[in-house]
Amino acid sequence: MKKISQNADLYILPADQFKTFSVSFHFFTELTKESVTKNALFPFLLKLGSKAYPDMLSINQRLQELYGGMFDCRVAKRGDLHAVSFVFEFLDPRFSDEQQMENCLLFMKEVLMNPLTENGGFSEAFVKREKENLTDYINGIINDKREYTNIRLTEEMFQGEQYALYEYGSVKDLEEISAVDLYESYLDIINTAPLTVFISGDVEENKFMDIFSDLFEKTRKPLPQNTIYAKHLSNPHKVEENQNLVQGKFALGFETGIEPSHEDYYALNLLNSVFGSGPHSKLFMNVREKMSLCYYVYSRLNRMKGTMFVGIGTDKENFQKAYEAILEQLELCKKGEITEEEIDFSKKFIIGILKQTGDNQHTLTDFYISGILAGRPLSPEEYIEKIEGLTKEDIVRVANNITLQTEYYLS
Amino acid sequence: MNFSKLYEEKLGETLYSGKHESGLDVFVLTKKGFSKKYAIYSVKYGSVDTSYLVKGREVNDPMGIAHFLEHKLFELPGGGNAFDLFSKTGGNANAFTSHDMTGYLFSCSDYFSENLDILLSYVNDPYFTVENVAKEQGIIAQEIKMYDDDPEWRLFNNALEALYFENPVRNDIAGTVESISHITKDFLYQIYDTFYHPENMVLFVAGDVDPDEVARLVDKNVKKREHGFLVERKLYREPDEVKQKRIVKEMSVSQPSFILGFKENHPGLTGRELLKKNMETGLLLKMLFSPSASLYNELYKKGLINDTFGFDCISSDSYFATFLNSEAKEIDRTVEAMLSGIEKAKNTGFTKEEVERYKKASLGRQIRAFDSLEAVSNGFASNYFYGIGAFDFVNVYPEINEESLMKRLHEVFNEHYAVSEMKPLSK
Repeated sequence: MKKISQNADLYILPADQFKTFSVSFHFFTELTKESVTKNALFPFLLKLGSKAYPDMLSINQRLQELYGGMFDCRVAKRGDLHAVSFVFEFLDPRFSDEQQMENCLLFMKEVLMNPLTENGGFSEAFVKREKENLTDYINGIINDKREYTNIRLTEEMFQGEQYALYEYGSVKDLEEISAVDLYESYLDIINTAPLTVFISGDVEENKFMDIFSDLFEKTRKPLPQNTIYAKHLSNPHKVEENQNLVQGKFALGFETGIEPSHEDYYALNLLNSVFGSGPHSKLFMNVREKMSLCYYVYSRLNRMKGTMFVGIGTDKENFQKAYEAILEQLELCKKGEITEEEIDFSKKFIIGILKQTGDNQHTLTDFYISGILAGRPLSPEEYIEKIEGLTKEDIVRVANNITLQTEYYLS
Repeated sequence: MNFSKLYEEKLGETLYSGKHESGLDVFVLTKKGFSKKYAIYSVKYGSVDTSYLVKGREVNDPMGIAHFLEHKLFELPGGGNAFDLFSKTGGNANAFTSHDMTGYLFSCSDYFSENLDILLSYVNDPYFTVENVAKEQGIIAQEIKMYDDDPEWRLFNNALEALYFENPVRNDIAGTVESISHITKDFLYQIYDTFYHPENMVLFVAGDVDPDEVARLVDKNVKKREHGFLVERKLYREPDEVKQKRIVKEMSVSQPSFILGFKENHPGLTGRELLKKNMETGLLLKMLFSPSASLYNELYKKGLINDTFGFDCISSDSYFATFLNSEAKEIDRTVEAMLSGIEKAKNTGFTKEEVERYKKASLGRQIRAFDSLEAVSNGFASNYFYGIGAFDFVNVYPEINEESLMKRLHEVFNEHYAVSEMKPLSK
């Protein structure tokens, strides 16, 4: 890692096994009701035109000339932070031509730093079109029932907190936003938000720094602070919704009480695998394989918010049975009814994934970002050591912190 | 088992291939610098193989049996399942069934030999009981119901139902809750013996591994059968016409969406000919419907399609279909605009410069795909059964030009199309 300037970091992940070189820019800002929709919308405008490539057609034809390059933008919630990312992938010069590296870096700079503007804002026509597109996207949450259940559970569990906001914002806020507002959001993020850049593959660092010097000379704000939960709901609450589905689905939200940077997070990671992540897990082995109640059942952690979600798809008449079975498996973890084999399998499962992290450029980038934001920027090797050193007592200790908080049922 | 080595300079990749005495073809793509090792052991047996001839006798099986068998093969003699074994060796195992094949796979970083041994051994050692079949009926019923609530999957399956009269590609891969209720353990054993024959299977391994070690494990686990592969598959000769021009379903979705599907007949097409048709179709779809195409830009700007837009093509020796899909507020308007854009392209044709640009970009993407062991291995495992080699695409590119694409444009986008629509529930 390299600190380039105040609150701007560059990570170079050396790798010569890939035929791709990838560069990703990640800007972090506070997740607020006021900014979330604007920050979710403006990145897509950059894909529609820059001064040199004034429409989607010319941007994409340029990507083709660069041997089928890829330019994409993503927004995500990382705890109470809103991450706005721009991701580029290109064919390595070994398989293309000598000018490839420079051409690609110049292209990235052009689309990121030189967007098409008119009258002090983005193009009105682009804004109008992307508002429609984002509206469709937000309304479309309902189409993926499994993900919908998780989004609704998050909203319910974090009612009144900023984390309840959806990362793509809200349709209602979209109406009010002008092309000038969006351009101001863009300038604010590009010029002042803390920035982390990842480069994977054979990229010449000096050339990169020369071309992007503008971006790194700015004074950037520090990372906003994150809270795991602003409030606790003492009584678990339960929400039910009917959509006439063939299969019912429900999700349970638990508090773990563990801060992202706490040493116990690694034990929580292991507990999660024993309990519900992987085909060796208690949920898979019992709720699916023994009881034949479902095709999918899993638990997953949200490190930045200190929560654990369990998701399952099962017939509505089996909701109660499945609910009891899930809680029973958690209870067994709390009582320490965990075999050495379960611990061994879970460690191997997690370590296997960690060892393969470096084989995928995006997975590796994502792994580092999570560690950085959690305040524990470990390498995969260091993370493996943490997992290897854990004992059953560690797992039982973190299991006993876990409490059920919110339930969401869809049928 | 002896391997021959093939190096492809344009890709910088090396492939070892060999034929085992059992008839099983084995391939190893050596990838230095990767920690991950990946293996896929596949059989040319998928959801479409429900009606076929064995020694001249016609056999008809329930829908969904290939997928059911895939689930059940994980059971081990004496109880327990293959996942338990992979858990011990840190292998991440999975399997999938498609229309025309079933694949069993794992990825790992350590204990590659142990993991490969488990894969080859469990797939070669079926164990079905009355109880474990009954248990699976419950689990798969839940899987089927999960797909019933998935609008994209329903839309796609409806499109196939509308295009085809008879070809079993129109049936759901997992079958129905009713059809799988007829599956018994004897059925499964019979199917297993019929289709899981080394001559009807392939092993593809990718990673930093020693091909001789792969050969040793194949020797240990794969036995030569007393008889050859006896199945005679049906080649479905479909009418050119589609079964239904339009099919509509309502579900709880945010707005209408559709698939526009085109049907072609190329019975018996395999090998390089099939590959060329596939590649030309892929290029044409990009030339008309990717963000670098003016037609796509026009549709997008007018709001006739949105970011959910996509295209796809499915092909085998008995079906070939091409699909365009998107959400659309007014489906008819969007379909009309697409069709008239296609007609316009048929009249204006393509320039050489344009074709070369698309070929360059596509080749670049295909070279980069070798960064993903899964993508390369899975792609190859399904192509293999049609006589298509892992590097063949490199040599097909030079054969594609303006004329061949123009000819293909007329073949793909013909008058035999159907529209599958998904609408929000009427209030």
